[in-house]
Amino acid sequence: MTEATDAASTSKVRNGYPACVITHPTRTARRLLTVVSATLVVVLAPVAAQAAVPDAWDDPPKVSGLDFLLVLFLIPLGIALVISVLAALPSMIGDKGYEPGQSWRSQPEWFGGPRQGVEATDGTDARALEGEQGGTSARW
Amino acid sequence: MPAGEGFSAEQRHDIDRAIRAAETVSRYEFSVFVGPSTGEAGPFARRLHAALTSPDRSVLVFVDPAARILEIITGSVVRRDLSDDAVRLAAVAMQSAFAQGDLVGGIKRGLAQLSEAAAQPRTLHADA
Repeated sequence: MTEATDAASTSKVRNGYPACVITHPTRTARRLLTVVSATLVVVLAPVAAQAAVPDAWDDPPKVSGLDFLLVLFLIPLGIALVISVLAALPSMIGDKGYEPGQSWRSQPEWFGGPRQGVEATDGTDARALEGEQGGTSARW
Repeated sequence: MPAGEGFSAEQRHDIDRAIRAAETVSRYEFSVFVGPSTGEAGPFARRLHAALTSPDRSVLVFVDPAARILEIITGSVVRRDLSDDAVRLAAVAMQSAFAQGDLVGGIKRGLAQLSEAAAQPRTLHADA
Protein backbone atom coordinates (compact mmCIF):
# COMPACT_ATOMS: atom_id res chain seq x y z
CA MET A 1 0.00 0.00 0.00
CA THR A 2 2.71 2.42 0.94
CA GLU A 3 4.76 1.22 -2.05
CA ALA A 4 1.88 1.98 -4.38
CA THR A 5 1.47 5.51 -3.09
CA ASP A 6 5.22 6.00 -3.31
CA ALA A 7 5.27 4.86 -6.87
CA ALA A 8 2.34 7.13 -7.66
CA SER A 9 4.01 10.13 -6.07
CA THR A 10 7.28 9.53 -7.92
CA SER A 11 5.53 9.17 -11.25
CA LYS A 12 3.63 12.34 -10.47
CA VAL A 13 6.88 14.11 -9.90
CA ARG A 14 8.40 12.65 -13.06
CA ASN A 15 5.81 13.45 -15.66
CA GLY A 16 3.95 16.33 -14.11
CA TYR A 17 0.53 14.62 -14.47
CA PRO A 18 -1.67 13.67 -11.51
CA ALA A 19 -1.17 10.09 -10.36
CA CYS A 20 -4.44 8.91 -11.89
CA VAL A 21 -3.18 9.62 -15.44
CA ILE A 22 -1.49 6.50 -16.71
CA THR A 23 1.31 7.25 -19.12
CA HIS A 24 2.98 4.74 -21.40
CA PRO A 25 6.61 5.64 -21.76
CA THR A 26 7.14 2.56 -23.96
CA ARG A 27 4.57 3.68 -26.53
CA THR A 28 6.98 5.93 -28.43
CA ALA A 29 9.61 3.24 -28.58
CA ARG A 30 7.04 0.72 -29.80
CA ARG A 31 5.83 3.11 -32.48
CA LEU A 32 9.39 3.73 -33.64
CA LEU A 33 10.02 0.01 -33.82
CA THR A 34 6.88 -0.49 -35.93
CA VAL A 35 7.89 2.20 -38.39
CA VAL A 36 11.46 0.95 -38.70
CA SER A 37 10.46 -2.67 -39.17
CA ALA A 38 7.78 -1.79 -41.68
CA THR A 39 10.27 0.27 -43.68
CA LEU A 40 12.80 -2.53 -43.59
CA VAL A 41 10.23 -5.07 -44.74
CA VAL A 42 9.15 -2.86 -47.63
CA VAL A 43 12.70 -2.03 -48.67
CA LEU A 44 14.24 -5.43 -48.19
CA ALA A 45 11.39 -7.67 -49.32
CA PRO A 46 12.19 -7.18 -53.05
CA VAL A 47 15.80 -8.07 -52.33
CA ALA A 48 14.66 -11.24 -50.60
CA ALA A 49 12.40 -12.01 -53.56
CA GLN A 50 15.24 -11.39 -55.97
CA ALA A 51 17.40 -13.75 -54.06
CA ALA A 52 14.80 -16.46 -54.45
CA VAL A 53 15.02 -16.74 -58.27
CA PRO A 54 15.12 -20.48 -58.97
CA ASP A 55 18.26 -21.88 -60.57
CA ALA A 56 16.33 -23.22 -63.54
CA TRP A 57 15.28 -19.70 -64.57
CA ASP A 58 17.22 -17.46 -66.83
CA ASP A 59 19.20 -14.80 -65.09
CA PRO A 60 17.12 -11.60 -64.91
CA PRO A 61 18.71 -8.88 -67.00
CA LYS A 62 20.73 -6.37 -65.12
CA VAL A 63 18.85 -3.12 -64.62
CA SER A 64 20.97 -0.12 -63.79
CA GLY A 65 19.71 2.54 -61.45
CA LEU A 66 19.50 5.01 -64.32
CA ASP A 67 17.33 2.67 -66.42
CA PHE A 68 15.10 2.12 -63.42
CA LEU A 69 14.66 5.87 -62.94
CA LEU A 70 14.12 6.42 -66.64
CA VAL A 71 11.43 3.79 -67.12
CA LEU A 72 9.53 4.20 -63.89
CA PHE A 73 9.74 7.94 -63.33
CA LEU A 74 11.14 10.03 -66.17
CA ILE A 75 9.11 8.55 -69.03
CA PRO A 76 5.75 8.62 -67.17
CA LEU A 77 6.44 12.13 -65.94
CA GLY A 78 7.37 13.20 -69.44
CA ILE A 79 4.18 11.75 -70.87
CA ALA A 80 2.12 13.43 -68.16
CA LEU A 81 3.84 16.74 -68.90
CA VAL A 82 3.20 16.49 -72.64
CA ILE A 83 -0.48 15.64 -72.06
CA SER A 84 -0.97 18.57 -69.66
CA VAL A 85 0.69 20.99 -72.07
CA LEU A 86 -1.48 19.72 -74.92
CA ALA A 87 -4.57 20.10 -72.75
CA ALA A 88 -3.71 23.64 -71.72
CA LEU A 89 -2.58 24.77 -75.19
CA PRO A 90 -5.95 25.81 -76.68
CA SER A 91 -6.78 28.15 -73.82
CA MET A 92 -3.30 29.64 -73.95
CA ILE A 93 -3.25 30.50 -77.65
CA GLY A 94 -6.99 30.99 -78.23
CA ASP A 95 -7.95 34.66 -78.23
CA LYS A 96 -11.34 34.56 -76.56
CA GLY A 97 -11.87 38.28 -77.02
CA TYR A 98 -14.07 40.37 -74.82
CA GLU A 99 -15.80 38.24 -72.22
CA PRO A 100 -18.85 39.19 -70.18
CA GLY A 101 -18.06 40.89 -66.92
CA GLN A 102 -14.64 42.13 -67.95
CA SER A 103 -14.00 45.82 -67.90
CA TRP A 104 -13.13 47.30 -71.27
CA ARG A 105 -9.43 48.03 -71.11
CA SER A 106 -8.71 47.86 -74.79
CA GLN A 107 -8.34 50.63 -77.34
CA PRO A 108 -11.65 52.03 -78.56
CA GLU A 109 -12.88 50.37 -81.72
CA TRP A 110 -14.84 52.12 -84.41
CA PHE A 111 -16.57 49.90 -86.94
CA GLY A 112 -17.49 51.66 -90.15
CA GLY A 113 -15.94 54.90 -89.00
CA PRO A 114 -13.59 57.23 -90.86
CA ARG A 115 -10.10 56.03 -91.50
CA GLN A 116 -8.44 58.52 -89.14
CA GLY A 117 -10.45 57.15 -86.24
CA VAL A 118 -11.39 59.34 -83.31
CA GLU A 119 -9.04 62.11 -84.54
CA ALA A 120 -11.52 62.69 -87.36
CA THR A 121 -13.89 64.26 -84.82
CA ASP A 122 -11.48 67.13 -84.18
CA GLY A 123 -12.40 68.94 -87.39
CA THR A 124 -16.11 68.30 -87.19
CA ASP A 125 -18.64 70.71 -85.86
CA ALA A 126 -21.48 68.80 -84.26
CA ARG A 127 -23.32 72.08 -83.74
CA ALA A 128 -23.86 72.31 -87.47
CA LEU A 129 -26.03 69.24 -87.14
CA GLU A 130 -27.71 70.41 -83.95
CA GLY A 131 -31.41 69.64 -84.03
CA GLU A 132 -31.05 67.45 -87.09
CA GLN A 133 -29.65 64.45 -85.30
CA GLY A 134 -32.08 62.08 -83.67
CA GLY A 135 -31.66 59.05 -81.50
CA THR A 136 -31.67 58.10 -77.88
CA SER A 137 -29.38 57.35 -74.99
CA ALA A 138 -29.59 54.62 -72.40
CA ARG A 139 -27.71 53.07 -69.54
CA TRP A 140 -27.62 49.54 -68.23
CA MET B 1 -2.67 44.22 -76.44
CA PRO B 2 -2.98 41.18 -74.15
CA ALA B 3 -5.49 38.53 -75.15
CA GLY B 4 -8.98 38.75 -73.80
CA GLU B 5 -9.16 42.51 -73.45
CA GLY B 6 -10.50 43.77 -76.73
CA PHE B 7 -12.59 41.98 -79.32
CA SER B 8 -11.29 38.78 -80.84
CA ALA B 9 -11.01 38.48 -84.60
CA GLU B 10 -14.17 36.40 -84.62
CA GLN B 11 -16.14 38.97 -82.62
CA ARG B 12 -14.91 41.75 -84.90
CA HIS B 13 -15.98 39.74 -87.91
CA ASP B 14 -19.42 39.20 -86.34
CA ILE B 15 -19.91 42.93 -85.82
CA ASP B 16 -18.68 43.75 -89.33
CA ARG B 17 -21.10 41.26 -90.80
CA ALA B 18 -23.98 42.64 -88.70
CA ILE B 19 -23.18 46.15 -89.96
CA ARG B 20 -23.11 44.99 -93.57
CA ALA B 21 -26.39 43.13 -93.13
CA ALA B 22 -28.01 46.19 -91.56
CA GLU B 23 -26.82 48.40 -94.44
CA THR B 24 -28.15 45.93 -97.00
CA VAL B 25 -31.54 45.75 -95.31
CA SER B 26 -32.06 49.47 -94.71
CA ARG B 27 -29.96 51.17 -97.39
CA TYR B 28 -28.53 53.45 -94.70
CA GLU B 29 -25.04 53.47 -93.27
CA PHE B 30 -24.30 52.06 -89.86
CA SER B 31 -21.32 52.61 -87.64
CA VAL B 32 -20.49 51.16 -84.23
CA PHE B 33 -18.12 52.73 -81.74
CA VAL B 34 -17.06 50.73 -78.71
CA GLY B 35 -14.92 52.44 -76.13
CA PRO B 36 -14.76 55.27 -73.64
CA SER B 37 -15.87 58.76 -74.53
CA THR B 38 -13.71 61.83 -74.09
CA GLY B 39 -15.96 64.15 -72.18
CA GLU B 40 -19.67 63.63 -71.94
CA ALA B 41 -21.02 60.63 -73.83
CA GLY B 42 -23.91 62.36 -75.62
CA PRO B 43 -21.97 65.21 -77.26
CA PHE B 44 -19.06 62.86 -77.97
CA ALA B 45 -21.35 60.42 -79.80
CA ARG B 46 -22.84 63.35 -81.74
CA ARG B 47 -19.38 64.45 -82.78
CA LEU B 48 -18.53 60.90 -83.88
CA HIS B 49 -21.69 60.85 -85.94
CA ALA B 50 -20.87 64.20 -87.50
CA ALA B 51 -17.43 62.88 -88.50
CA LEU B 52 -18.94 60.07 -90.59
CA THR B 53 -18.80 60.30 -94.37
CA SER B 54 -22.47 61.11 -94.82
CA PRO B 55 -23.92 61.88 -91.40
CA ASP B 56 -27.42 62.54 -92.73
CA ARG B 57 -27.76 59.00 -94.00
CA SER B 58 -25.93 57.32 -91.10
CA VAL B 59 -26.74 55.70 -87.79
CA LEU B 60 -24.09 55.71 -85.11
CA VAL B 61 -24.22 53.28 -82.22
CA PHE B 62 -21.97 54.31 -79.35
CA VAL B 63 -21.31 51.78 -76.58
CA ASP B 64 -19.15 52.43 -73.57
CA PRO B 65 -18.90 49.03 -71.83
CA ALA B 66 -16.95 50.41 -68.88
CA ALA B 67 -19.36 53.26 -68.10
CA ARG B 68 -22.39 51.20 -69.27
CA ILE B 69 -23.59 53.94 -71.56
CA LEU B 70 -25.38 53.44 -74.86
CA GLU B 71 -26.02 56.24 -77.37
CA ILE B 72 -27.71 55.86 -80.73
CA ILE B 73 -27.51 58.84 -83.08
CA THR B 74 -29.47 59.01 -86.31
CA GLY B 75 -28.97 61.44 -89.20
CA SER B 76 -31.60 63.80 -90.55
CA VAL B 77 -32.46 61.63 -93.55
CA VAL B 78 -32.50 58.40 -91.55
CA ARG B 79 -34.85 60.01 -89.07
CA ARG B 80 -37.60 60.12 -91.65
CA ASP B 81 -37.66 56.33 -91.71
CA LEU B 82 -36.30 55.55 -88.29
CA SER B 83 -38.31 57.29 -85.60
CA ASP B 84 -36.85 57.97 -82.21
CA ASP B 85 -39.44 55.62 -80.74
CA ALA B 86 -38.14 52.78 -82.89
CA VAL B 87 -34.61 53.68 -81.83
CA ARG B 88 -35.70 53.56 -78.21
CA LEU B 89 -37.12 50.06 -78.73
CA ALA B 90 -33.83 48.90 -80.21
CA ALA B 91 -31.99 50.53 -77.33
CA VAL B 92 -34.09 48.55 -74.84
CA ALA B 93 -33.27 45.30 -76.64
CA MET B 94 -29.57 46.19 -76.57
CA GLN B 95 -29.77 47.22 -72.92
CA SER B 96 -31.14 43.84 -71.88
CA ALA B 97 -28.42 42.00 -73.79
CA PHE B 98 -25.70 44.25 -72.35
CA ALA B 99 -27.08 43.77 -68.85
CA GLN B 100 -26.54 40.04 -69.32
CA GLY B 101 -22.95 40.74 -70.33
CA ASP B 102 -23.52 39.92 -73.99
CA LEU B 103 -21.75 42.84 -75.66
CA VAL B 104 -21.40 41.46 -79.17
CA GLY B 105 -24.87 39.89 -79.13
CA GLY B 106 -26.40 43.17 -78.00
CA ILE B 107 -24.70 45.11 -80.78
CA LYS B 108 -25.83 42.56 -83.38
CA ARG B 109 -29.40 42.54 -82.08
CA GLY B 110 -29.54 46.34 -81.98
CA LEU B 111 -28.23 46.70 -85.54
CA ALA B 112 -30.72 44.15 -86.80
CA GLN B 113 -33.62 45.86 -85.08
CA LEU B 114 -32.59 49.37 -86.19
CA SER B 115 -32.21 48.30 -89.81
CA GLU B 116 -35.55 46.44 -89.76
CA ALA B 117 -37.26 49.53 -88.41
CA ALA B 118 -35.53 51.82 -90.91
CA ALA B 119 -36.42 49.55 -93.82
CA GLN B 120 -40.16 49.71 -93.23
CA PRO B 121 -41.79 51.66 -96.03
CA ARG B 122 -43.33 54.92 -94.92
CA THR B 123 -47.06 55.02 -94.84
CA LEU B 124 -47.92 57.93 -97.08
CA HIS B 125 -51.67 57.69 -96.60
CA ALA B 126 -52.57 58.74 -93.09
CA ASP B 127 -56.32 58.24 -93.42
CA ALA B 128 -56.59 54.52 -93.93
